[in-house]
Amino acid sequence: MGENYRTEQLEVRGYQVPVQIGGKGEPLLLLHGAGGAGLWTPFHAALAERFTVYAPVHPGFAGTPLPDWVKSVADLVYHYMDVLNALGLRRITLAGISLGGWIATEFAVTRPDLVQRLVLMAPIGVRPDSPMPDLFILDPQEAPRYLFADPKMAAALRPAAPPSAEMITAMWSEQAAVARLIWKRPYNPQLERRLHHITAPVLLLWGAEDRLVPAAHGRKLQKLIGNAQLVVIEGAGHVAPLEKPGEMAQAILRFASAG
Amino acid sequence: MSAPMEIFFFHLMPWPQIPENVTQKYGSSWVVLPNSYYEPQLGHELYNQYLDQLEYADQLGFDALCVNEHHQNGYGLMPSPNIMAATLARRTKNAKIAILGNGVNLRENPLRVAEEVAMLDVISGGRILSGFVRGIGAEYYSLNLDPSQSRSRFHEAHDLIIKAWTEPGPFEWDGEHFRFRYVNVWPRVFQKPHPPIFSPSQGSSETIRWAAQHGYPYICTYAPIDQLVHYYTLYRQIAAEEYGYAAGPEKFGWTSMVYVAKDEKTAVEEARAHIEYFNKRCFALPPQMLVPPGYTSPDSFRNMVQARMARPTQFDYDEMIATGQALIGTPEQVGERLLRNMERAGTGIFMGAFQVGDMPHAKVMKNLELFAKEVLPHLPRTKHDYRAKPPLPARAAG
Repeated sequence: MGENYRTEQLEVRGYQVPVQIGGKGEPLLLLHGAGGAGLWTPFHAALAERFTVYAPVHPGFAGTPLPDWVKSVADLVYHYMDVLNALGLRRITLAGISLGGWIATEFAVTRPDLVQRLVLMAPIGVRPDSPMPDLFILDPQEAPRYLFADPKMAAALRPAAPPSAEMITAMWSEQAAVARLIWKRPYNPQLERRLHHITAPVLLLWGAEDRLVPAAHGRKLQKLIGNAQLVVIEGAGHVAPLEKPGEMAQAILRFASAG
Repeated sequence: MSAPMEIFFFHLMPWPQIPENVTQKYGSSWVVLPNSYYEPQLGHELYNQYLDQLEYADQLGFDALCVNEHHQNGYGLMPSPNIMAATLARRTKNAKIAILGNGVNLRENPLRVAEEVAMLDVISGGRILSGFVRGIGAEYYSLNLDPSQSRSRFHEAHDLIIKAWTEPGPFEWDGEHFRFRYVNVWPRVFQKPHPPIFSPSQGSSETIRWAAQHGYPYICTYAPIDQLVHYYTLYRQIAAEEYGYAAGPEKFGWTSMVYVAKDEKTAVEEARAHIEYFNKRCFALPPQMLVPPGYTSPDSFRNMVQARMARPTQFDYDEMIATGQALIGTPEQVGERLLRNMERAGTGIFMGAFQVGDMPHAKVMKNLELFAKEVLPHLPRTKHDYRAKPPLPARAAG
């Protein structure tokens, strides 16, 4: 079963990267979003039935130190080239969620030769037609209404006890790593005109009720990329892999079977 | 006995018509409070009244007049403190002009700060005290600056400005955040080697360490006095143990709201509404705006979270009076509490906010005048050498 996974500390050019590894089959590198670092969820487990899933933690997330050399998403593209080398992987299925989707898009534009398939789940990175809500300025209690189709689900996931100073600090520190990448501009204005460098087939996955990056942005990307199919999941919001893990994973497995 | 001191007039130039329900309706009087609440005609009158107040304090014998930098809010209407300092430089004669401070991080180009402060120092004949700040968290939203690089950018901007003021130009600066082929600031600063640097701060241990390293006067505004004592003790300790000097009272400031009247009841009643206005409307700032992610170190952030958990309401008027946090009372009471708190905090710089919240002009002038007439003459005064780094007292033998 796919729940069996292990966490390895991968040494990447002198920097320790925690990587969760589980499953059997061809390699799939899964890049997490602003949240979700270091979690092995039912979504991961479902993918692990068909792939060997590698889920690394971005620098500065899940308690890892935020290095000075991280200045922008481009630095993470080069970082993930090094991660692949350290894992001994060559061509991969590359999947990214939200912020991880931005990194994955830039990666596929920079090194199309390393990407066999590209799966982008509500990715940011290409300039949206309407401004994205600013999650940094929101009261943390208000964020779920942008992220979840059903905000009650967010409440169910929250621990019952109020968070300790330690937990609040850990979340805040992780947000600092997010800020480094997206505070000044949550997209790369140059990315749109580089998209034609992607050679792999692309699957765009979107929650129909995404109120952070609406599914309309997915339709725009589909047009821009050309060789892309878009699957919109009903009853899911921005965090569709949490809300509809089975359907999301099924869509990816179908896409992979096609080629 | 309190050490001899300098008396500063600390001004924020607040907007007096922030709506009462600002927190419920907008969440904050910073960043998101619509600027439709700003009325230029009233603004015109206010700027001129506020400047009149500062100029009057010069005539009354205050040591320094403080201006500061805040952006896009109703709390403080000096987005450019250097413009305020410029008008004061021409209209005042004796008082120093304390810019507390220039938000060097809030400028794309730190050389613009080096140039403007140099201009002010030359115009005023060397009356400038130059504070440098990172800008408070809300300003990282308003001016779209990455808070996670705030500290390293600040340190580099500071190093660049000091070098531009002290070393002959042109020279090249090739840093992590800034690169200039030609650094060659005209005019040169008037004071030698440069205007005294002040470090106003919210109390992060990194800033305390940085200020102690350079020996810069360190000022934490509106913190409870126990917290101040803790911060200033840490500064003294770092100065002594790591940099080998005894940090004296000239390195530390205490800020308090001040309101004096002939009898205590009148003072307490007349000041109440304005201080409550400040507490509830000017300082309406949720935690994520005050300390955005990466703005400070995780340790400093954790300390703030713990302090907030222990003490959820930061300001309460009656408690502020009871603890001497705000100096409200008769001239005798205010003078006595002022001396007591200055002694307790070991500070040599008193920064009084004689205008608070929506306090109208006439009250401020009356307040200033009574303080100057009946409190000021009884305070032990001095002129500080802010750069002093006296050696530690020799240890007793044996």
